[in-house]
Amino acid sequence: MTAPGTLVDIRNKVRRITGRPNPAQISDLQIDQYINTYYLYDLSEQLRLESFRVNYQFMTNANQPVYDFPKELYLTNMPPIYVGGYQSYLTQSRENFFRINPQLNLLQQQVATGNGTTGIYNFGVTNTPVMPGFKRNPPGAYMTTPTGPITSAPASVINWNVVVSALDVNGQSMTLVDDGGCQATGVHANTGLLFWSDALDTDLGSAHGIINYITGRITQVSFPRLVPAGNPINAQYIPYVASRPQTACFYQDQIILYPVPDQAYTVSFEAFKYPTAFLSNVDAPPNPAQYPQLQELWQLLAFGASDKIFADNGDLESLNKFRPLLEEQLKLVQRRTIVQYTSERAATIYTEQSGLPQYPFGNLFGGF
Amino acid sequence: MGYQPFYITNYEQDSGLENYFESFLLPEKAFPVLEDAYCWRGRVSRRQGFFLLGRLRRNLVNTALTVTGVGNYANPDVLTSVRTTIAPVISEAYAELEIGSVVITINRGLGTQTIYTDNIATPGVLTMTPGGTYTISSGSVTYCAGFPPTSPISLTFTVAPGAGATVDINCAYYPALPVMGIRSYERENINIEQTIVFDQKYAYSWDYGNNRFNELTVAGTTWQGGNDKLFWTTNYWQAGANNIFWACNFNPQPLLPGFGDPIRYYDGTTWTTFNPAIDALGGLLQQCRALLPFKGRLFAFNTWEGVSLDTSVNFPRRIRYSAVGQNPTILATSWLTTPGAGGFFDIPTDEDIVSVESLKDVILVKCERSSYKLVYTGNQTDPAIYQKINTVFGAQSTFSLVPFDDGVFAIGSLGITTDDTTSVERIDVKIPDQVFNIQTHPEKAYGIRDFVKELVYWAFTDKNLHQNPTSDIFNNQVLVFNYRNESFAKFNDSYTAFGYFQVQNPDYGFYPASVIPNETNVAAGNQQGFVGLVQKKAAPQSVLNDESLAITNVAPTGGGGAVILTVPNHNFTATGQYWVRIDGIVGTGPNNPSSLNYDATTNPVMYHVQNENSAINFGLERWNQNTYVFDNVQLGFGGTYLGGGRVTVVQNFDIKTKVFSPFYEQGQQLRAGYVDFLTDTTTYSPDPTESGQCACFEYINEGPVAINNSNVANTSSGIMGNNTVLTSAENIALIPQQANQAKIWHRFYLPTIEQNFQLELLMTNQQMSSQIINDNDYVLHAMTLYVNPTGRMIQ
Repeated sequence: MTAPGTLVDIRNKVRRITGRPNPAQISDLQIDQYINTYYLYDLSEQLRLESFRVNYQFMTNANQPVYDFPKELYLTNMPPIYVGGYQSYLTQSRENFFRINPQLNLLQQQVATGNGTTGIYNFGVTNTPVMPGFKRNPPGAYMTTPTGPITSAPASVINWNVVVSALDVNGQSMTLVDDGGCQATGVHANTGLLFWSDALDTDLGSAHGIINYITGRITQVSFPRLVPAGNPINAQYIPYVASRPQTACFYQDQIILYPVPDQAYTVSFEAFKYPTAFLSNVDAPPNPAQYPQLQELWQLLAFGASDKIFADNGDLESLNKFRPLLEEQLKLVQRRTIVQYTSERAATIYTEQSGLPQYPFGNLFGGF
Repeated sequence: MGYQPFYITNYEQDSGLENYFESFLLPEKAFPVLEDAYCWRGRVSRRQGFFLLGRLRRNLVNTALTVTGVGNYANPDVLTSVRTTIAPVISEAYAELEIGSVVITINRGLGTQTIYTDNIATPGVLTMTPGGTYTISSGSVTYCAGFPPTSPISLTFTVAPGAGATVDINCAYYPALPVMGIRSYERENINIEQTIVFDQKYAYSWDYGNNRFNELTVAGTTWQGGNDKLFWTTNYWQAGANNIFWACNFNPQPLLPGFGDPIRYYDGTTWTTFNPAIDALGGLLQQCRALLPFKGRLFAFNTWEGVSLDTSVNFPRRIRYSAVGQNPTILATSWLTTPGAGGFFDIPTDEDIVSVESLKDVILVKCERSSYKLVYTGNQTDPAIYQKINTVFGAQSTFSLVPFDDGVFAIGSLGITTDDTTSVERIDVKIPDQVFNIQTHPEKAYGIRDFVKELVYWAFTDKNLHQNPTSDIFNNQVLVFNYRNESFAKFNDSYTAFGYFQVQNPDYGFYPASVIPNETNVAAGNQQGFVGLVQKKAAPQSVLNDESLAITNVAPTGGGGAVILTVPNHNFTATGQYWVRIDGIVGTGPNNPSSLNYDATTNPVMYHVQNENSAINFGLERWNQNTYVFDNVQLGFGGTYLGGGRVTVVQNFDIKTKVFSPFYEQGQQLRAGYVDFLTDTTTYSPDPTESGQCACFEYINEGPVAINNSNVANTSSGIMGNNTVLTSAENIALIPQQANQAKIWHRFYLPTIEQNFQLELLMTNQQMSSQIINDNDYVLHAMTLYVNPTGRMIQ
């Protein structure tokens, strides 16, 4: 006899707890949905188990400052952060981050001059490379779907870093903003598109200019209204010098690195991951049995799924009756993590003194 | 707050079908809809199946056919002699040969006599009996096919008899006429009553040895009443060693001379016409509505009198009686109107006498809208006097009277009543409107008391089921009255007559185990001459009916249309929902119609009836669970139908609860959690889709559409589980002991918030499509509703 713990065992226990022994009362698929809901979204928040604490790492691209954090796979992250193996500064405060790395806009006057038309204007900026805008995360203008990028977001919601502007005949501003090159594919590129700042769409057909962030060349610019002859066309942008990032800011589920990487670096930090969901309809032979990430979770998952079924059914009486059993299982499952951490001493500034106080060993690479 | 349980059980008092109040005001155990299920001894029980005794059949003996010609022999219809009678004399238009009974003889009695027979094992084929002269390369017989149907035979000779050889047929055949009476002939021995069955034309008796019906007398006495001329019979007097059995069908037909029927009596051997002299002027008693013995006399009610049947005159209010103590079969003297002997009197009303029944020491006489009783006076000049009981309630159906010890039930035009000889009261106050739906042919309503189940059945014509009648209408529903708990229900059965059937030592290889020796089992007949026992199917297939309709033709249709079955007088209507099983089709050729026959392995299909507006034809369709529509059942061209096809009507059931509104008094809506049903345990299958089950539809806020109706496409995935309610063990692996339980509590979830809700237990189209499922019994013992108050009442 094998130890219980498969998805089938969990389902059966759910059926026993909820008194729904037959698929007519609740299908296996529905039970699986409740199990996965509890497993992924409740348990992972109720218990930050040691087993779910993992290293998250990704690779930088040259001249790309902003990277998405896969929030569908990981819950939270935490210091320390390592860039290319160097322990670096990770903050969630834009205030701290931008004080260390001020991103002041350079106003370059009259990069071009109006000729009495709406365009086309071609010109360049002098200080390069130029900091690109970046796409939003969570969803916005540049999220992708299985059928392609979502491109219908208005320009007002993108995160731009380049502004091209001019005054029309009435002295009203006409402004174009950049999209960081992410618009078409959802990933960073060295060439970005410019849109009128009041554009309702940021798809390719709505673009009114192109910027090469590396060379600073801005081409194919057109304005919504004519630029009177002689009127200046100005540009605001953030020039930078690329190198190994030393600071990072986690904000709006994105990692912002500075300095902007000049090449590929491995960035790694700790994160709590979501457990892996069960798959329905693949648990019967010849497919192998499915187990939770920790086999000991199976009872907890059954009680947790049952708790949700009771709730959806408005059966608060049963919910209250079984809630202590759910909590008991939570305590039992948590015991593993607690005991694991018990042997870990509280860290002090002396903890990492290795006896080899020179680079790169010990606190801050032997710096202390 | 947890759910509050509301336990409902013991469906006895205040239970059953009830429409007096609005549904939300009904008692908790009452049902506004209760069809093919009934409240019985504390439970709600599904109607049990109809057990077929047999189809009324008679024999043709040495009946001459056309002589042979040159070459091969072909006869277009060997039953033409019984089919071609000119209306209104009864034509057996849909007569069908019995498979395995056909014997064709050429040159009977001569040295060249040659016999050809068919065989049950190879139906449709005639083979020569060894020793014959005229050998054949092939022979065929069609039992009944086409419209109008025929029964042709053909013989292809290898040695031909030449022209002029005699041909005759011996066979059994089914006249296919409506059953007009199932009556009991009181035989001489104790506890033996012979059941005599009438159709419009013949009388039959049950052959206990061969388990089939035969014509009662060889002589072939016939009647010729219409399909509303039901037979009244009574037992009185003795002729030699035999009792006398009287029969009348109230069919004088004075406007169609020669087409009337006389009163007859049967003495155990022969039928004798009975038209006694009633006066010295040559007047005879020719017909009557009813005959009943009373205080040493035989009484005739609602009479036709005259010198001949064709010239007789109706005396609808007349009560005529024979001389006391005299043999009533003596035509010359026993009924003469003579002081101290025979006589008559008329009830002072303009209404017709519709029916009569004995109760205690009086005879109740039911007129159309009034009730009387006859009381014995002891005065031989005026032996009985009438007394009026009620001036409103009478009877509109002669055979609706059902006697009890303390009263006689009757269906009248204004109510279903009980008459205790001093007063007449309605017993249908729970369903006050039902009586007004017994229409179109109220005279065909037929009642009987089931002593075993303690029920009363009334077959009747529900006008709601006949929105567009196209031909004769036969009774299409049965009103069920449980006289123990005074609850009603309806069965969707077509019965033209009821009666009792008795068997002394049942051969349980033939009879179902539920048949009780010497007991008065309730028998019923239908419009095609099928006769069987009501609610007598025994486990394990206690629900599925036996066959009850015959197919006379199968017509393929092109263009994706549904195959059309010709089933005369099927009695289906577009208003109803009918499921059928097809069996017994004999056919030949490519696209053989026999492919429609049910087979548990290769064709386990229950069909749904479509286009049933025609009284002759209907189409077949089958349920498609993927598209939620019925697909036409198609049959390609090329096959030939030879007969034998039978239709089994597969009944659903419909148990609709009252509208539950438990928190109206508190001004709150309710949250329904679940309902537990305590039911008898039925067949378990490892495949949950084949276990015993039904469905529970939930209606909220008195809406017309169930929120979980799986008969329509439903894209909502918000409902946990589905609408199936098992009646079998729910999970043998998890709860192994359930399979051995007599009853199981089954939980059904209905997580909804509403002002009120109503449940409907029935089978879905998907469940009806499977015999494995729909043949399971359903017995509900209790239900517990789990609800709690939530939110304000207004939405």
